[in-house]
Amino acid sequence: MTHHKGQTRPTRFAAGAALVVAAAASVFTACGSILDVDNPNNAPAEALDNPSAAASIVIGAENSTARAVSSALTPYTAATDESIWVGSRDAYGQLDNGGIGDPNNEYPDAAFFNVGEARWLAEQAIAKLEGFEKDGKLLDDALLVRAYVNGAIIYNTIADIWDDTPISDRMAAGKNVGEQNMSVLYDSATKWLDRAAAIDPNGRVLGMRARTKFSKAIWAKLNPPGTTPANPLVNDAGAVADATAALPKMPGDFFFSIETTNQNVGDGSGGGFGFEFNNRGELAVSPDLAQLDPDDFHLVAVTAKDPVTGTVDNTAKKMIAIVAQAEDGNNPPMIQVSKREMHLILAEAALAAGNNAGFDTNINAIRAFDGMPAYAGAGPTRIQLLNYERRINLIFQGRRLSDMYRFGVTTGGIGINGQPRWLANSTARKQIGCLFPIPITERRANPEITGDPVCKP
Amino acid sequence: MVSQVHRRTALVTALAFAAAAARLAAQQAVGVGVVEGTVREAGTGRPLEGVQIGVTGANIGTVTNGRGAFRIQDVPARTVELRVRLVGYSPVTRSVVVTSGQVKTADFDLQQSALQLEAVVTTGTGGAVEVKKLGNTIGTIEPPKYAPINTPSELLQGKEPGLVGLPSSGMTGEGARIRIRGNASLSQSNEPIVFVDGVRVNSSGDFSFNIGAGGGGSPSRLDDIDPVTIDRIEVLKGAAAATLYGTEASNGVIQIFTKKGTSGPPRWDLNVAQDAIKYPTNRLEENWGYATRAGQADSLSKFWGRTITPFKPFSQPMVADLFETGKASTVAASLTGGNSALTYFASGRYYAEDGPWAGTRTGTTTAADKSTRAQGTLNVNMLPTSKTRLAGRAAYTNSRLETPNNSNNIFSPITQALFGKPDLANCRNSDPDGTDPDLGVLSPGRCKSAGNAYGVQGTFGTPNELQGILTKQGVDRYIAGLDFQYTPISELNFTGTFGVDYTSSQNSSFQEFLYNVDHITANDTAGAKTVQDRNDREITLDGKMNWSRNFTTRISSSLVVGAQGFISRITQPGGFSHNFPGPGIAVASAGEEPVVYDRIEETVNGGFFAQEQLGWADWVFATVGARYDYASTFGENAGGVLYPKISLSIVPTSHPSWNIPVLSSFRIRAAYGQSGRQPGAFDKLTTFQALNGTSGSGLAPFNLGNPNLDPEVSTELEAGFEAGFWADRVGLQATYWDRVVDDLLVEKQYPLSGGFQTRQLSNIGQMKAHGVELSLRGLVVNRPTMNIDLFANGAYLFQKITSLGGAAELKVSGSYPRYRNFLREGYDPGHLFGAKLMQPCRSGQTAGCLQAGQLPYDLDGDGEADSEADVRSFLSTPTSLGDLFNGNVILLENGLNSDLGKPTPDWTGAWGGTFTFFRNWRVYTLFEYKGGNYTYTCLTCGFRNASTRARNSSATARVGAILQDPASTADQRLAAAKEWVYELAALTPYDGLNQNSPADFTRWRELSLTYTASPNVAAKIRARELSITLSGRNLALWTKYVGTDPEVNAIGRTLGGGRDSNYLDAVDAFNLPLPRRVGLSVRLGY
Repeated sequence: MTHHKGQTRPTRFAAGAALVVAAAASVFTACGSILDVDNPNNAPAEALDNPSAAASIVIGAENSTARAVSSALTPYTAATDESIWVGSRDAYGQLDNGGIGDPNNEYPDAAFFNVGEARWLAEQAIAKLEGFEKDGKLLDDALLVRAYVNGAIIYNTIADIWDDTPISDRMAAGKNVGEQNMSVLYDSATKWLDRAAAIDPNGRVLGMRARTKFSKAIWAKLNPPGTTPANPLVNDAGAVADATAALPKMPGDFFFSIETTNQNVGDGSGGGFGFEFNNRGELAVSPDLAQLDPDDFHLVAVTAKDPVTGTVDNTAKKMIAIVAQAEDGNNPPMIQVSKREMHLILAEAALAAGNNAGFDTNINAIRAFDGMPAYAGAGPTRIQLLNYERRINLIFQGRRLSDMYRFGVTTGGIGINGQPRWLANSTARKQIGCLFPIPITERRANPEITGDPVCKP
Repeated sequence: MVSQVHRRTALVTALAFAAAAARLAAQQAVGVGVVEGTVREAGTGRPLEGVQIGVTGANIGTVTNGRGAFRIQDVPARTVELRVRLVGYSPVTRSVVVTSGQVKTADFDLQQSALQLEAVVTTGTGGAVEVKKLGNTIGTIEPPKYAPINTPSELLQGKEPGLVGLPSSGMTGEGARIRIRGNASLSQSNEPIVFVDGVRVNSSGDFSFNIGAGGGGSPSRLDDIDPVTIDRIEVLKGAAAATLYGTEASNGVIQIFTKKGTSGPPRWDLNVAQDAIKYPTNRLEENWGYATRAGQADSLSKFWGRTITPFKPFSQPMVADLFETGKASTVAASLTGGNSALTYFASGRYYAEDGPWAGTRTGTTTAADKSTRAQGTLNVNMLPTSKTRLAGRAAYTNSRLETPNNSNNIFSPITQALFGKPDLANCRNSDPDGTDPDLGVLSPGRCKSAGNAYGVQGTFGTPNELQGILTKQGVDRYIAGLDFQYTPISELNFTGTFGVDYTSSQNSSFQEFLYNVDHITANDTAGAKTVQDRNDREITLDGKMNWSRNFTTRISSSLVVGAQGFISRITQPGGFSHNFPGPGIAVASAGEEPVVYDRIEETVNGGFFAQEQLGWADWVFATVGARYDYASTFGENAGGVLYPKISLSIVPTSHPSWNIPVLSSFRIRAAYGQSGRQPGAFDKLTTFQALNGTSGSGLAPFNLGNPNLDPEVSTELEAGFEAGFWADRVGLQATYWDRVVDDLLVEKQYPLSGGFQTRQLSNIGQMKAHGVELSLRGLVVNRPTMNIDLFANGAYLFQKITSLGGAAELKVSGSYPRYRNFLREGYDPGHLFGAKLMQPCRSGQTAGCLQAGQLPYDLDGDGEADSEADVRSFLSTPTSLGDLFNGNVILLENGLNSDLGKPTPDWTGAWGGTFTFFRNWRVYTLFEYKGGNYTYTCLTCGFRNASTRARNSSATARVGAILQDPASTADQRLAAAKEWVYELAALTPYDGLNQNSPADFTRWRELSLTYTASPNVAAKIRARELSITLSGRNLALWTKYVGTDPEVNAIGRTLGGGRDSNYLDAVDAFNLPLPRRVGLSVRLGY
C-alpha cells in the first residue's frame, strides 16, 4: 500500500479496512461456488428423461399407486358394509353412516393427494417408456407391460371410488372429467391393457382388462345416480371374453396383489389401509361377519355364515384373514385381480343371460377353492348368493359400494350389528350410486373444476 | 469434518491465548496507577455488583464484585475519565487524576433509572452505541437475580412488550415457541434468529422429523444455554432494527450476551435449589359416566367398590391419578476473576428434573418425564496490548430428555386417560372365562392382571400399556467463539468474530416387546423403535470496522462497514423397525422391515453492510445504512438483495436549553428498514424423490420447483418516544410500528390431480401488520429500608393477510378437520373457521335461519329445522346421545365456514415489580396476561363432550343419562337436548362447533421471596454472600377459558418452519395445564 501525502492516520486505517472488507467480499463474489450447494436428497426432473431410469420410473409409479390404493381403500371400506368405524376419528364415522358426499371429509381428501400423484405418475411412466421404446432405448418390454397394468390399476381405482376427477399436469390445472363421463377412465385403462396384451397376454393383464370392462358396465348401471337399478346384473361381452381367456392363464387360486411397505404406506392423514385397520384400529370387520371383542373391537372370530349351508363360511375366513391377519398388518395384500373374480364375472353374466347352470358352475368353482359344498339352487336365490359371494370374495378390494347400490343393500340400522349403518338422510341412502366427490383440497386448488355435482352431502 | 473444525478452533484459541499471555508477562507498568473504589445504589446505599467501570479512550476497565468494589490497574498516569454504567441505573462519568504508582480511590453512587437512554447496546448497531442514538427500539432483558427461571425460554417470557413465549403443555423439558411482533411469514420460520456473543446459534427445537411424542415435551435448543451465564439479552423486534442482519432477520433478532468475568481475586458463586412441580388438578375435570343397566351397575359397583346406580352419573379422577409431585434439583457454581488485562468467567450447572408423571395405578412404566442438563461455560477476555482485545468462549451442554406420548397423540397414556369412561371399566381380561366371582377385580379400580380399568374403547391401548412407549433425546452441544478487536487509534477499531455451534442430538422412540399388558392395544405390540440423529453445525464469520470521529465540535460521525457469513449444515440419519423377536431388545436393527432415513441440507448466507450515524450536538442522531445479502438458496448466479435502513433520534432533554424539570428525559424516534426471510435450501428446484416399495426404490414427484424464488421482504416503520419523569424515577416508552411483508412466500397448492402433492413456494402474497408497545416503570419508593420498583407493559398486535396472490386459501394441518386455522385473505393468519349453529332469523330473513320456536335439529331429515314440539315428540321415549348426534341432524349456518374467532391475542403483556424491605428482604413478582379478541379451541372439550370414544364430561354424562333414563320426562329430555346442541355437540361433521371459547387470561407467572444475609452474617460461614429464596412459578390462573389451559397448544416447540408450526395456534388438544412449581434455593458467594 502506498501512503499518500496528507493522508491522516484514521484515513489510512479506513482505507486498510476497506481493503479487508473487500477481501472478505470475495468470499461471496469471486468465490461464487460457495453459494452453489448441492441437493443430495432428491433427483432432478431430468432424471425421468434418462432411459437407464426406466425401471426406477416404473417402480416409482407402482409404489405410488400402491400408496394411493392403500389410502383410498381406508375411507372406501368404512363407507361400505365391509367394516365399521370403531376408532377416534369421526370422519370415518361420517362415512360409516353413509355420509360420503362431503368434500370436507378428511380421508377421501387425504387419499386424493396420493391418488392424484399416482395417476399423473402412471401416465408419465407410460409416456416415458413408450418414448424410450420408440427410440429403441427400452431394453426390457416387461417394464412397459408393468407400466400399462399400473396405469389400469389407478384409473380403475379412481373410477370405482370417485364420482369425478380432474386431469391436470403439474401446475397446469385441468378440467374435471365430469360425473357422467367417468367411464372414460375405464376406456383409458382398457386401451393400455390392450397394448400390454399385445406384448404379453398373461393372466394378470387379461384379468385386469376383464375387471376393467366389468366395472365400466357396473358404472353404467348406476349412472346417472339416483335409484337402485331394476336389473342389477351385468353381462358384458368384453369382460366375459377376457375373463374366459384369463382363467387358463391363472394357476390355482390365483391372486394378483399389490402391497405397500412401511416406506410408502400412509395417506398424510391416517397411516394407510393396513395401519388404520390392524394397527391403529380405526376400523373393524363388520360385526355381521365377525365376532368382535367388546372392549377393543379386535377380531375374535369370523362368524359369517355361508348362506347355502348355514355354517361358518371358510371363504369368509380366508378372504378376511388376507387383510385382518396379514403377516404384515400394516401392509396387507391389496388384491387387484383374482381367479375368483373371473368366475364371478362369468357367473353373473350367465345369471343375467338366464344360464343358471353356467352360474352354478362358476360359483361352485369358487366355493371349491375353500372346500365349501356346491350350490345347486337350494337355499338362497342365485342373485342373493351372487351378492354374498361378491361381498366375501372381493372384500376389501374397493368394489363393494357399487355392488351395495345395485343389489339394494342400503339399510341396516344404527345398532352395532346392523349393516350398513347408513342414516336415513345420508348421501348413500338418498343418492344411490354416489361415490366420493372431488375433495376440498383439489377444489380449492383447481380453478378449472366446473359444474354442480349431482352427489352432495 | 466436524471434529476437524473443533480441533482447528481449539488450536487457534490456544495460540491466541498463549501469545497474549506472553505479551502480558512482558508488559512493563510504566507511568500507570491504580483506581479503586465502591459503587453503591443511591438512596439505599446497597453495594452494586456487575457495574461496568471503563477508562475513556484507554480500552481498559473492570466490573464491580458482590461488595460493589472495583480496582483498575495500569491506568495511564494522567487525568482520565471514568465511565460507570449498570443496566437500570443512570450512568455516571467523572474525571480523576491518576498518579504513577499510586492508588486513587473513587466511589460512586448510582441513581436507579426507569429509562435506559444511556445504556450501551451492540445488537444490530454495527458497534457499541448508546440507546439514545438509535432510531429504533431495542429491548434489553437482564435476568432477574432471584426469579424462578430455569431456561432462557422462561427468561424471555413476559419481559419485553411484543415478545411472547408460547409454551405447549408444561411437560417436563419442553421449550416455548418465541414470537416477536407476531408473524412475518406464512411459510417460513417465524422464530427470531438467535446469537450468543455474536455467534449465530441453532435455535430450533423438537426431537427430529421422524420422532415426536405429540407436541408437549418437545425441547427448545435455546434452552441448552445455561441461564446462569447470561449477562443480558438484547432483542431487535423487526426489520427497522434488524436490517444489518439482512435475510432471515424479519422476525427479529435475539442476542444473548454471556458474562465475561470481573477483575479481582477469584470469586465463587454457588447455588443449590430444589423445586416441587405439580399440575393444578382443579383444571382437570374428572371422568364421568353412568350405567344404563342394572347388571352393568352391579359389575361397576364391584369394580369401583362403591354403589353405582343406573342413570346416576359418577366420576373418577383418572387423569390426576397419573401424576404425583415432581421434583427438580439444581446445582450451579461459577468462578470469576482476573485483572485489568485478563478476566475470566467459568460456570458449571447441573439440572435434573423428574416431572410429575407417575405412571398408572398398575404395572411398571417405561415412559418417564425426566430432563437433565449438564452445562459448562468458560469465557476469557484478554487485553494483550492497549490496542488489542481477545475474547474466547466455549460452552458445552449435555442434555437428556425423556417424555411419554402426550397431547394430540392417540397412543398417549394421558390421552387415553382423558378419554377413559368409568362406566366401561372392567377386568374381563383378568377373567377371560367369566368364572371369577370377583370379576377379575383385585381391588377397587384395579384388575388382578390384564384389564380395562380406564374403560378405554378401541385398540389404541390402555394407559397401562401406553406407558410402555418412551421418546428420548440426548444432546451434546458445543458453542465456541473467538473475538478479535484491534483499536489502532481511539476513533477506529476492527473487530472479527469466528464461531461454531455444533449440536448432536440422538432421538428415539421406543415401545417395548409385548407391552400390550392389558391385551387391548394393537399398535405394534411386538415392539418398535425409531432412531433419528440430528446434527446441526452453524459457522459464523463476522468482520467489521467502526470509525468514529467528530467532524466539528457539534457533528459526530460513526461509520461501520463489515461483512458477515453463515454456513449451516444439517445431517439427519436414522432408521425404524418393528416386531422384535423377543423381550429385552431395544435396538432398531432387531425388528422386521428396517427402514433407513437420511437427509442432508446445507445453506450458505452472507452479506456486506455499511452504516453511517451522524450526531448533532449530542441530541440529534440520524442513521443510514444497508445490507447486501447473498444466499445459496438462490444459487451462485442469482446476485444479491439490498436491504436499506434509515432512522432518526431526537433527544430534546439533551439540548442545553431544556428546562422542564419534571420531564427529566425525553426522546422521540423513528426508524425505517427492511429485512428478509429466504425460502428453504432446495425450494427452487424441481425434484423427484425416492419412493421405496415392494419391488425396490423408484422415483416419485416431490417438488414442483420455482426458479424465480426470492426472499420475502419485510418493510417496517416504527416511531415512538421515551419519557422520563422526576429524575427518571418514572419511565414511559411507547412505540407504534407498521410492517408490510411483500413478495410473501405462499405455499401455493397446485391441483393434486397434477401429480405433485407438495405445495410450491411462490413470492405472490402480502401481509400487513401494525402494533403498539407500551412500557411503564416506576421507582415508587427508594429508601434505605424500602425500595419499590413497579413495571407494566403491553403490546397490541394487528395482522392481516392482504393477498395470497391468487392462490387458494390454505388450511393449517391439511386434511385434518379438527384444526380449524386457516390462511385466508382479509383475515389474520391462522384465523378460525368452522361450524356454528344455525342462528335465529333476523328481521325479514326467511331461509337458512331458525324461526321462532324452532331448534337447530332436523331429526326427521326433511332439510328443515324442527319445532320444539317435534323434538319433544321425538324425545317422548328414552333416546341415546347417538340418536341425537348421528351426522346431519344438527343444522349449521354456513357449513364449516363460520367465523369462530381470532386465535392471536390483541393484547399481551405483563406487570409486576420488586419490593425490597428491611434491607435484606426482597419480593419479586410478575403477572402475565393475554387478551382482547382471543379465542381458543378446546379439542379436549370436544372429545369429552361429544366423541363416542370419550363423552365423559360431567355435562355430557348428565345430559346422556337424562336422555336415556326411562324415568325422565319429555320436557327434561328436551332441556337436555337443547343443552346438547347448544353447548356440547362437536367434532365431525360439525368441526368447530361448541369447541371455542374466549381465552383471555392472567397468570401469576413468577414470584420469589429472597432473604439476603448481611455481610456480617455471611462472614460467619466465611461467605461473601448468602441468600435464601423461596420461589413459585405459574402459581395461579384467572381465565374464562373452559378448557384445560389457554396457554397450552397442540403443536409444541417445533423445528421452526412450516404452516403448522406457525399457525396451529390456540388449539388445546389433550394437553395438560402448565404445572405449578415451588422451589427453595440457597446461594453462597465466596
